[in-house]
Amino acid sequence: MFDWLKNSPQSPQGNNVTSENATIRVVGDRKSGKTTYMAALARWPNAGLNSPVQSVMPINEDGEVLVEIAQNVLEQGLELPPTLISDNVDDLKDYQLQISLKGEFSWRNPKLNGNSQQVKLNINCKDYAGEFFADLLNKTGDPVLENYLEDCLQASGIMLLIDGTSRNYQDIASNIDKFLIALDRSDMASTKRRLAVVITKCEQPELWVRRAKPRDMATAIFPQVAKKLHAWQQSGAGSVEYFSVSAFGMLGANVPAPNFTKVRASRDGLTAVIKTPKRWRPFGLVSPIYWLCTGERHTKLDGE
Amino acid sequence: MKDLGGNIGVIGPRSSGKTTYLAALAYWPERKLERKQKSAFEIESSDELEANAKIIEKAKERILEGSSFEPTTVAGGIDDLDSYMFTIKVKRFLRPPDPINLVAVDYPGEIFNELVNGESNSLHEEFIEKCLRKDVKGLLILLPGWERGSDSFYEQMIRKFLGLMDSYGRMNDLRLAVAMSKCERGEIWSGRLDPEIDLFNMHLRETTAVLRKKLPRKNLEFFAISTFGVLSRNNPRPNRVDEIGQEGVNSVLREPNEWRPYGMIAPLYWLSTGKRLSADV
Repeated sequence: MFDWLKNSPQSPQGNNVTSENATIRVVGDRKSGKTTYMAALARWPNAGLNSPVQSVMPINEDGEVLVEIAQNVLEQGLELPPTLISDNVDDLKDYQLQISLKGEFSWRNPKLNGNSQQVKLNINCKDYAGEFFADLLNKTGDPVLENYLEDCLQASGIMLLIDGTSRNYQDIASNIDKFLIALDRSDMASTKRRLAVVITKCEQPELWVRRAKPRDMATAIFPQVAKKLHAWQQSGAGSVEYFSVSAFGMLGANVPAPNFTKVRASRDGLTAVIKTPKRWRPFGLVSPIYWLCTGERHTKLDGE
Repeated sequence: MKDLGGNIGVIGPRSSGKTTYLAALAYWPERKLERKQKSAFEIESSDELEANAKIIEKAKERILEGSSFEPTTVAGGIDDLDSYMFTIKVKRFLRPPDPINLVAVDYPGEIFNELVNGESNSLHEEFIEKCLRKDVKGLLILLPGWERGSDSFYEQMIRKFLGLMDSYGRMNDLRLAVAMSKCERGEIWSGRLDPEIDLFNMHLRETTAVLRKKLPRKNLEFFAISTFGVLSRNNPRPNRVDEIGQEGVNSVLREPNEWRPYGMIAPLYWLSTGKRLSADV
């Protein structure tokens, strides 16, 4: 019941700091925005004054690589190249980030005076190449796949990214199905996992207007996906929560417009670059991580 | 975050005024500001969205200068279809307005004409799939014709369309705002005040009957829209001149300084909230 106390070291200043940790794997189709998500999160540009997030800091070298990607590619208005699959899962970068939330927003222990309670989210996170999802999952018994699944089992939380602009409804649903089956099969211990379903590219007008209700949005666009995930949750394998995020964000709060320039679009979804890097402010990126760390939804993080 | 607004499709046969309507919606705020007109309802759109910027340019060329609009076609496929963003603000007493954010998609008219001819192809189906997907809150159907013959054509078109709605499971959860467009025309201008009775019952009886029969009443409303408007309250001549151009008739504002569109916002407001505004906004 008071599990969290174990993870609550007192900071040197004597303030109450709650630390929450999670090991995360980011999976999803090619071009669903996995690396872009991680880079935007690590960079955390132009944070809003009202945002509950105080800072996002890279903790290891891999984490710093993300910041470089953000600065050298995304902020230059350029497109990220695809992450190539590595045959050895141990070669994957393991990004370590620390996300600090402002004191007044910590409500995990309401008895404490709000402004003294801080939450720090420590994550280490790997993002798998889209090929894992699109191709590798079909190769049952392949040692590379086995290694990936083995690695994935170490995660306490999984972030499943779905490109909200994709029209490959069937493929996405069947890939997710294969993934969940493969994962459950390899997990002898039947660990319960948190699975955050993250709809990406929500700066796109048609997604943005529905961002307040991510579960409804996902169910409307990807009904089969929602059905499969519901069944997975019902089977007791873990819990599922939906999120809407944008690594690019919007321009203008009063009369909004998405901060993107279209490169190309197809059935597989939209490819775009940031239109105005100076005003780059992603939204929703911390919310799934907070949930993966704590099991609680922090609604104030949803729009920020 | 409040969940007002949503995705809206603008549909209707060829030359029903869909693009002109959306162009006017995007351009109207700028125009209104120049002329310092005030009203309880504001519509705003950001030209930082490329699609909005493009259509505002179109509006200037078309509505003010009378150059022709190319018909919206299916040629570029569904990935070239533009989405426009609008924010509607309704003024409230002592409180800031709750903005309603709408995204509108302008569908090519040929899809709806082809419904009647039965010549749909897979390209058309992609458009239909998009406009009937469950994340679409409602559709604005523009029907310009009131003359003899219009009713039976629309009736066939609507019947086919309702069949598609059914196959996508949208019969009970999609709002349809059915609007007669180009209502500045003298013969129908007076019917704008009660469009359901004086326009639809009167001129499009069969079309209206099939809609009423198949759809839940709460999801069906009738409207009158005039993108161009009339010259003034006491001078109800259309504020529109039709010029013969190379590609047919181009309509242009007769008195750009007297531009007062009629009924543009009310159907959008109803589609997003389920509430009707007074008719003339």
